[in-house]
Amino acid sequence: MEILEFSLFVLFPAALAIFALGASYRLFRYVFLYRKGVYIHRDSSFAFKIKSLVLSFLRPTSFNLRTKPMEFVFGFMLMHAIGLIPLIFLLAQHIAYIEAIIPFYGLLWPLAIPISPITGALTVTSPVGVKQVETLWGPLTIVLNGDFLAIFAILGATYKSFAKIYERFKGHKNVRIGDLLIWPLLLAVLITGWLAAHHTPSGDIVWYRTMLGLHIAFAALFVAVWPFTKFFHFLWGYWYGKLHEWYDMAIKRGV
Amino acid sequence: MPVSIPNLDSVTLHYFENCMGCAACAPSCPYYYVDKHYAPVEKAEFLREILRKKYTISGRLAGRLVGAKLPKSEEDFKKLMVFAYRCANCGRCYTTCPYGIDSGAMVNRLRQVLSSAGYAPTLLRQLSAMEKEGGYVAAARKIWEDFLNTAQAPVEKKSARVLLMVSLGDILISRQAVLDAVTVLKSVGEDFTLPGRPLGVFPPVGYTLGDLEAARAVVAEIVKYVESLSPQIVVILNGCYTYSYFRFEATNILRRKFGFKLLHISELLAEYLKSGRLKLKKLGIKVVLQDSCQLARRGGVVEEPRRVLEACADVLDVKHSGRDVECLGGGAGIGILSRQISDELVKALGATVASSDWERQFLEKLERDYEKATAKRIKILKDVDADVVVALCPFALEALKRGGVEAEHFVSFVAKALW
Repeated sequence: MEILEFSLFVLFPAALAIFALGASYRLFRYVFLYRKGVYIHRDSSFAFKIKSLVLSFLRPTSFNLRTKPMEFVFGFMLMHAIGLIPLIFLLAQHIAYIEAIIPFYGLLWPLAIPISPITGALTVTSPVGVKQVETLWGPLTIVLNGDFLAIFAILGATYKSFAKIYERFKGHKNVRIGDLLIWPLLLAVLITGWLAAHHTPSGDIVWYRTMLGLHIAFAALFVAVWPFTKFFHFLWGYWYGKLHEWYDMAIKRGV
Repeated sequence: MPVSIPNLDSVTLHYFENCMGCAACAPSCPYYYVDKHYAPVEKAEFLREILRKKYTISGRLAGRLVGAKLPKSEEDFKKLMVFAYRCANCGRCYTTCPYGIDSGAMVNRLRQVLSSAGYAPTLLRQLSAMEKEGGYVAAARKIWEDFLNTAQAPVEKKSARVLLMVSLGDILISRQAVLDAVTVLKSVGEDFTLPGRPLGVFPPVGYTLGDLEAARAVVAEIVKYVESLSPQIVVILNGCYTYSYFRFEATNILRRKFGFKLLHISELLAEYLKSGRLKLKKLGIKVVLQDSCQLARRGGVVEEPRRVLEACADVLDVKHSGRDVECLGGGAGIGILSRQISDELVKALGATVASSDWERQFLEKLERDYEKATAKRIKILKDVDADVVVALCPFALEALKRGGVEAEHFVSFVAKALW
């Protein structure tokens, strides 16, 4: 079995199963460890609650922009906001693949991002065959395409990798062994995906299928380790954390 | 030495496992400007190492390789002491963390670990024990009686509407402010009472060193005493952790709601002002308000002190105020350990400040770091063209005065403006 088929039909389903088990374990721990508190909440208006909910999410972003602009540009903007998130969830090829596993994911087709600024054609090896991406993004497609987004994400992830190594070198405790493992993994997913999309290093179909197979294999590894690494913040830690902070500070204390 | 490791609940689990190590919190901490390794994320990481060792499979199997480690040697504990006592638990890192992680709460849990192994500043340990066993009442009887004689106010009056919750710490470091609060209450004709004895030293001191059992006992004893007097409102003068602890944590610690409402003095004065009971004259003075972290950020008391001050002074704006206030670094017991305040406590209670050469050096270094931590905020306050800085937190007030700032307690300032 060649690596593409192995990745598609063995590795990825296995990774999804590991992901489901791991994610369930992570989430159920929160349910079982929940302890109801006895508190006297400060009264506040509905408008205050909504405003503080929005601010809970915005405050760290504006603070980060003021105090650590490099981190903001590379770590937040390039890597997260205009890199990984649209790339993973809206790239047309990804929508096609995820839709094959989760049918309702196809609802995102109108938001699909083409792989290049020049052509909206999906590759012939995609599970849906040849298809033209009818993007909603109009002129924004010049930036909102797989090529550019991958470059943004690679720049962001590279910056973070070097920043982590530098911080480790300086003896900062906030760099953990996991960082040194997951950043290369993320870069491997991004770089193999970009190479596959560009039929690089060779236009030969065997090379292409190998590179795509590697991309999916790394992506499967990413999915498998997702619940057990800091990657899980995207699905849980970030949302739980900010909502808890909002409850604690705004609802309970009226701040 | 065996250590007691905090239990996990869902919130602690979140603080433990969802830190991305991005260090976005770092610039929010006053101690980060003393040493980059005092960033909240790094201080909290010491507790994470301990939790990993106990609660994760990888931590048990791979230990230090995956950042899991229990403190074992005396050197380990002494190193942890330095980091654990470079946090004022001001909460700014909590609100600037993209993941809502309260590193101050983590550092407090680290202090719990240290305390369980017998590591805590001697002074805090002694004060906590005195507070728990009530020894401070007899030791400070003369100081208290002198205060009551000066105050000339009702004492232990049952069912008064307001009980002014006065601690020994209030009398020792903010005596004039307490007397001014009594003056204000008399001037508005409030039906109030003072307690028959000081309610704690800086209650609950046990919280500052991570002795939860002592903190719980002190809170239970004070609440029991207060309920025996049946006031409708208990008013706290101390704008530091005493307010936020009694207002937002005490009910959960005792697992029941109380029969009284709890207010900070600034909230009560704002109520008087709104109802027309408090009449203030304009003093023609330009002031800037140094908010208290525990009142404003952790307590939601932002507008009340401003409204009162605006009625009697020109209140100037200063950056990083209100809920975003920059901390002066003296919370969570650090202010108590500062030389000025610890000297007062030694004089009043006969307490011991340090029990070894190492601890003396530890306290001297803490004192220097505390001074450096306050410097950034003091510069900002000095740059504002104000006649006086008004503070709500006794430790902030001490830090400001030490930094050469003309500063006054909120209540004392308001008392000057009474008609």
